[in-house]
Formats: sequence, structure tokens, C-alpha cells
Amino acid sequence: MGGGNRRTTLAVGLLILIVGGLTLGPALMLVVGSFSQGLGAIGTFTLDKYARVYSDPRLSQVLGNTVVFSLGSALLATSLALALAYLNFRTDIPFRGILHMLPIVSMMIPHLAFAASWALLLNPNNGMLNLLLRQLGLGRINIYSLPGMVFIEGLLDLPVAYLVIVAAMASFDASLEEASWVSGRSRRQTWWRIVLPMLRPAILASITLVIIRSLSAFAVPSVLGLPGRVEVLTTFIYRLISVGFVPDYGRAAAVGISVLGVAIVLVYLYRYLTARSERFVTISGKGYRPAITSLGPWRWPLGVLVLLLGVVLIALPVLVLLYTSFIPYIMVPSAEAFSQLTLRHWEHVLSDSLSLRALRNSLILALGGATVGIVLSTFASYVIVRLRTRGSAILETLTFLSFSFPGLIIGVGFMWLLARTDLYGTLWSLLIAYVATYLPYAIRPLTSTFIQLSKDLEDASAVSGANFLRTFRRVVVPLALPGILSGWTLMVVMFVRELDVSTVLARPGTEVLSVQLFRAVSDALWGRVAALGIIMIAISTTLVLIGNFIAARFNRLRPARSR
Amino acid sequence: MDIHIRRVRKTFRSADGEVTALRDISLTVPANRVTTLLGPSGCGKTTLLRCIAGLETPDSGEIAFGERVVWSGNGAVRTSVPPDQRGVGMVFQTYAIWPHMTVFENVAYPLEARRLPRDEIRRRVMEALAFVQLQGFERRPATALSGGQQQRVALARALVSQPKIILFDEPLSNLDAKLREETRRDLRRLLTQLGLTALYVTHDRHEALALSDLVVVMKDGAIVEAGSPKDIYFRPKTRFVVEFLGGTNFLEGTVMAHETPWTRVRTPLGELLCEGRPDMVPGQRATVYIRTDAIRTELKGVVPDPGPTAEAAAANRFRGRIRSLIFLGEHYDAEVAAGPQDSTLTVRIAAGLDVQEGQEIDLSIDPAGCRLLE
Repeated sequence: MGGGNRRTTLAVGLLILIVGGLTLGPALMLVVGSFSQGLGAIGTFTLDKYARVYSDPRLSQVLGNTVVFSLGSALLATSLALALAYLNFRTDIPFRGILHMLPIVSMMIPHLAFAASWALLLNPNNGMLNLLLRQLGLGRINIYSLPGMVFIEGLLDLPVAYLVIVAAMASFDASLEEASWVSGRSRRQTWWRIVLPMLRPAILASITLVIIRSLSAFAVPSVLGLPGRVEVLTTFIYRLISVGFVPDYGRAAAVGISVLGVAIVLVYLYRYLTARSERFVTISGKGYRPAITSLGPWRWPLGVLVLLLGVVLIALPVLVLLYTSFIPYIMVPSAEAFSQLTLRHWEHVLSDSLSLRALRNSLILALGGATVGIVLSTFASYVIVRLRTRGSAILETLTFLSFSFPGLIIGVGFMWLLARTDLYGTLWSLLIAYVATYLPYAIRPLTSTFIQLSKDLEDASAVSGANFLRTFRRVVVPLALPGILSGWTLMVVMFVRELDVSTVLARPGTEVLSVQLFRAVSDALWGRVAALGIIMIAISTTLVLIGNFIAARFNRLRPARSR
Repeated sequence: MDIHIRRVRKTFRSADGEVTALRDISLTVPANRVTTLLGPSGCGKTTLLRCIAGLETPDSGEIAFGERVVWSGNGAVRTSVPPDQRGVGMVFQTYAIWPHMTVFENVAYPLEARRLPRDEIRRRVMEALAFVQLQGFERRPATALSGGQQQRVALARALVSQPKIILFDEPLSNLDAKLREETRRDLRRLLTQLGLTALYVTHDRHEALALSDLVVVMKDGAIVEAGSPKDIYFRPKTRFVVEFLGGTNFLEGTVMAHETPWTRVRTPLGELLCEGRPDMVPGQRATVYIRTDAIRTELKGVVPDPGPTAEAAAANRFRGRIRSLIFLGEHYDAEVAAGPQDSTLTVRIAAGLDVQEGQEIDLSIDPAGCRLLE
């Protein structure tokens, strides 16, 4: 504004350049690479990669699996989220505190560790629950199957679906339901005729979002799909780049582009759906009061069911990993098992130089990456919210683009992008790819923070003689700190467990915890898997608690906002 | 220091198209006086204020503080002083008190931005707080104050750097009615004491009349009229201003003859003696407007007290029927149908009278209160 016009344009240009480089860069490299001769590098033009990969006889089977896997987990996650959100917001269900924490806490368990814990429980050979079932003569459940993968991926995507549904549920005035009851409709009729139609945009948004995420999911398909030879697109691509003497990145890119294309379409569908729902559902403080429906005789049974979900989502995986990390080989908990407890796996993990290096690298990447990421997203979201220029619209579209990035695929793009720079093979290449792939996750909480901040607070500072930097430092950042902290925490959690990008980009010397964990899973070293899983959970929990502690301290120091 | 605004134009572009907020506005805001920009919402008054503060960039035109051009977009010469270097004080509609700072920190902020020594800052903040009668509040968190107190913090913050120009963007609109009246009186006193150039934006006619030396009425991005509060109230030139200042009946009529000191006009209500307007020609169309305070009401049969002149009093008398009645405490607001065409007049009836809807009533209209617009 004012005399700063040129500087503002320059700053926005710089941001577009950085974000564009981070998002369009790898995507373009992916396209170029898929048309190139050779295996790992960019070379002469060829259609050969496409011809070979799309004529692969396995592909139709893989596509079928992918559709079932993505759609199945989307439907499971969304219906669970819908039920949970309704019970939590509209009924007198007990254990409401637990219910509210459930989706948030389960975010701290890395997907890889979660999938591994279920492999420990339900693998067809020596899964602990299967051993138990066999003793009881009840047959067995094979988690190494498409339904097993759908079940686990659905549970893992529940938090995301829940957040989308809750946002709509919380702002939906209960008097709409009351009006239906008064008009003579039963509770069930009201649910079908009023609640579901009102939530339709949110439900569709949730389904879309989970499809995007399960389409690019790698942890569950690799841990639970590969042993049973159930391949989806990500594992198909993974096999192209990891099996054989020389990985064929070109063919991987040729398939990856289709996945990326579908994901981009879905992301823009999601954006359209949420823009509409945000317009329909207005949050007004006035007269809003959630009506509480009494569940009557169903109250306790449903409460127990919710508790059970808590066990399945959090307690069971953590306990299984903890237990497995102390026993010499997989066995059902028993007096005998407890007499053989051992520290062997922990000693190995904590003395192995590779694991220690991975631990150090993961910590550096999580803390450093989240810090770099949050600085970039703070500036980017500020520009997106405050400057309504063409530049800021471009920036918003760019940041949204990486929402669609399947880590494994965009990782290949980054590999090509960075291969000729000195950054390749260093932690920097991982850090850059992490920030690019997870940028939207920090930008979204920050844009909603900035939207809530009155522009007058900044104008008042400018009129008081403060230039932009002083205003940003003294007014914008302190007021946005809660949003900045929560964005930072979210990025830390994502980076600690990051597997997809790392699988492609981690090189000797830049190993990270998740890749080590993945290798241990592939080698069926379950004790080591368990110990590494517990370490990852402990790190993200600790960092989240620190983040929340700082936020709480800060909020206490600061008086409540008046308006 | 006076503010010169020359042909300032501002257009907002949105997805729905273009909105011209300011249509080549020219205005001189006199030095060391209180000027208000009065108008309905969307008339461009706040945009103009924000252009002066530097928070909004005009498309073309020029803005100068005294001799110093702070914005100019004419031809090749472009001057654009950013808001932090314009040196004005401003009070925002939302107060814009920073919630993460104390009262002291809020008020000290403009001085810190100007890198004044610490002692000097302390002294001037305390002075400013004393001026707005907030001594002893400096350590309070700014959000722990009432609306009226926050408003005074905002004023102290705007005044603390001793600007030559102070801008107000509807500062009283978030206060409740009683507090608003008190604050209005205080503000008038403070502004008179300071003798600054003050520009005040409001949509409240009472605020504009009470506070200013000069009222500038705006509509659709243009200035409709400007004048002293009394000029604007008693001698408006446009129907818009008459309507905006409120409480008025309009009658379309034809000028018949001049009967010094009055002018006789034929209206649907009947023949009316109006203010003398020798500049108008008999036969000319004219709009008569009558504020409610110019219409006296008497119950039928009660002997009226004589009007300004016997002749006039005899002339402007009508009988009407009360169509609707609203009791407002101090008085009734009534709609009365009068004249051969049952023209509707809004009148006030003393609260003490025993009146009912449907009742007949006598009206006598002060000819001096029947004003003419061309």
C-alpha cells in the first residue's frame, strides 16, 4: 500500500516464486521425466515409458484395488466421523471428553506404526489376535487383504474426516432439528430428512478429502498390502522404483502423473465443495445453542462402543507396540511371555548407529522443517488473506496444488529437480520436499486465523507511524501466535512420521526414522519395528505437548479478546 | 493545517464488477476546525477518510496537507506517502485497541515507532491518558476496559504524537445511546480545546450537527452539500439533504403568488403560505417541505393561540383525521390525513393530550416552516 506498492509487489513475486518452485517445479519435472529416455535421468523424448507401463497386464488389477481401497476407506472414515460428530455434539453420550480427544490424539500415532501394530495383531501366520482366535477355535482374520487395508486406512483417516464434519456440525443450528420434531417428524426421520441433507456438502467434502489421502497413502498398502500381494497404485509405483537392479523412475512418473491428475481434480472438487458449504453454513454466535438429544436406553451401550473405538484407535496399537518391543519373538501375552521380557530390541535400536542417525535426522527435519515451513506459510497466508490481488490469488492456487501431492510420486519429481544441485543427498533436499508437500496443512489454520484478525488493528499501527515490518512484528505475529503454534505443531507431527517423500529421497546418511521402521517391517524384525514405533509416538506426543504448553502459557499471559 | 482534496477518484473492483466509491471529489478541510463527512452507508465517506490516512490508494487526484502533497496521481508525477509517514492521528470505528498490549503500551506505540526517548514517551503517554481522564489505567490490559474507556484509549493513542490532523471513523457508533451522548459532549469540548484539524466520519445527523464547524454531506461518492450545521439544517438546497436530516413532510406544489413576506403555493393539501422566495416565478413547480416541529396540533374546538401573524395563522389551518398513532413517551408520532386528497402528514402530538386513531384534529402550520425547493 501507499509508497510500499513496489516493495509489496516484489515481496508477493518472491513468495510466488518460492511456492511456485516448490509446487510446480517437481510436478513439471515429473512430466518431463516421464517422457524421457533412460532410467534415472532426464534425456531424449520418448513415449516408451507410457507405452510400457500402461500395457502392463497387472495394471487393471492394481486400478481395481486402488478404487476399492480409496472409496472404501473414504466411506468408512466418513460414516464413522459422522456418527461420532453427531453423538458428540447433539446427544448426552457419556465419555464426551474422551470422544472429543479421540481424533486429535490418534493423529499422533504414525500411520506406519499403526499399520504395523495391526499386522502384529492380525497377520495370518502369528498375529496375536489370530493366535488367540485359533486357541478359541474361531478361525482367523487376515489383515493382509483388501478389506483389512480398507479397515485400517479408514481408521487412520477418521481424524481428517471428523474435523471436516465437526466444522459443519458445530455451526449448524439445532433449532432446525427442533423445528422438524415440532412438525411431527420422529428423530429418525429428522436425521434422514434434515440432518443428512444439511451436512451433505461436508459429507462430500470429507469423502473427497479421504479419497485424496488414501489415493496417495503408502504406509498401509506397503505394510498390509505387499505381504498379501494386494497392490494399489502407490505400491505399484514403489515396486517400479525399488525392485530390480536399476529403478525405473520414468515408468513410475508415467503412472504417477495419472494419480497426480486425479488428485488435482479431486482437490479442486474439495475446494469447490468447502467454499459452498462455508457460504451456506454461517457461524453466528447469536441464539446458537446445541440441543441435546437424550439417547435413553442406548446411552451406555453407545458410550461403551465409543470407548471401544478409543481402545482400537489408540490404546491397542500403543500397548501392542510397547509389549512387542520387550518380547523376544511374537507370542500371545501370557505368564511365559512376561518371564522372557528382554531389552534386546531397545538396546539394538539405541546402539545401532543407523537408527541413531535416523533419529537425529528425523528430529532435525521435524523441528527445522516445521520452522522453515511455518515462516513461509505465515507470510503466504498473510498475503492470501490481506492482499486481494491477482498475485495473492495465484499464490493461493499454488499452495492448494500441493494438497493433491502423493508424497511418493512428488518425491520422484523432487529427485529430478534436485539431482543436479548440491542439495541432492543432503537433509536439505528432504526438508525442501517436506515443506512443499505439507505446506497447505499449515496454511489452512493460518488463513483462518488471519481472517479473524480485524484489519483495523494493522491500520491503526500504520497510522501510528509503524512501517510494515514493525506492524508485522508487534501486531500481526503476536495476535496470530495461537494459529502459528498450531500450524507448527501440525507440521512437526507430519514430519516426524513422514514416509512417502522420504522413501524416495532418503539416501545413505539421510535416513529417517520412518524409513528405518519401514525397512524393519519389510525384514519382519517386529521387535525393532515396535521399539522404533514407540520412539516415533513418543517424539510426536512430546512435541505436541510442548506446543500446547506454549500456546496455553501464551493465552494465559494474554487477556481474553474483547471482540 | 488544512487538507486539500482535489479531484480524488477511487474505484473498487470485485468479482461482481466495479463500484465507484469516490467520483472526483474536491474539498478543502479547513485548518483547526472540526469537519464532518455525513452520509448514508456506502456513500464513500469512510473511503475518503482512509485515502487521507493513506490506508487506501485513490485512482487519481491529489491530496495535500497544507503545502505538503501526500498523494498525487496526476500525469507522470506520482507522490505517495505511506500511512506511517503521514503523521496523522486516527480513531477507528472498532477502536482497534491491540488486545495483547496494556493501555500504556497501546498509547506509547506511536511514540515508540517515532523512536522517542523512554522518559519522553512515559511523560507524554501519562499526559495523553490524563487528557482523556484515564489516569491510573495504564497497567490494565486494554481488553479489560469498558467500551467507552477503550474509545478514550483510542483517542489518547491518536493524540499522543501531537498530530496536526486527526481523523475519526464513526468512533461513537459502537457505544450505547446514553454513553454516546456523553462522549459526544466530551469530544466536542476536547476538540475545541485542542484546535486541531479534525475530520469526522458519521452517518448520525445529530453527531454531525453537534460536533462540527463544517458539515459535508455525501451521497454515492460525491459531495451533495457543505455548510455550517445551521446552514445545512435550515437552508438545505437538495431534497436528499432535507430527507437525510429527517422528520420531514414533502408536498409537490405550484407557486401562485408572492405575498410579502410570504409566497403562496398550491399543494394537494390546499393553498399554503410558505417562506418568501421572490426568486421563484408564479406557475413554477416547487417542493414544499415541512418539518414536524413546524406543525402545531389542536384538538377540535380548542381555541388556537395566534400564529406568527394573524393573516398567516388564518391561512395555514387544516382539519385532518388521525390515521395511526404511536406513543413514544415525550410525544405521539401520528400520521394525519388532511386536505381534499387526504394527503398524509407526519405530525407530533403532545403526550398529555387524550387522542385516539380516527379522531379529527386541527393542524396549524407555521409559514416560516414551510420551505421551498425548486
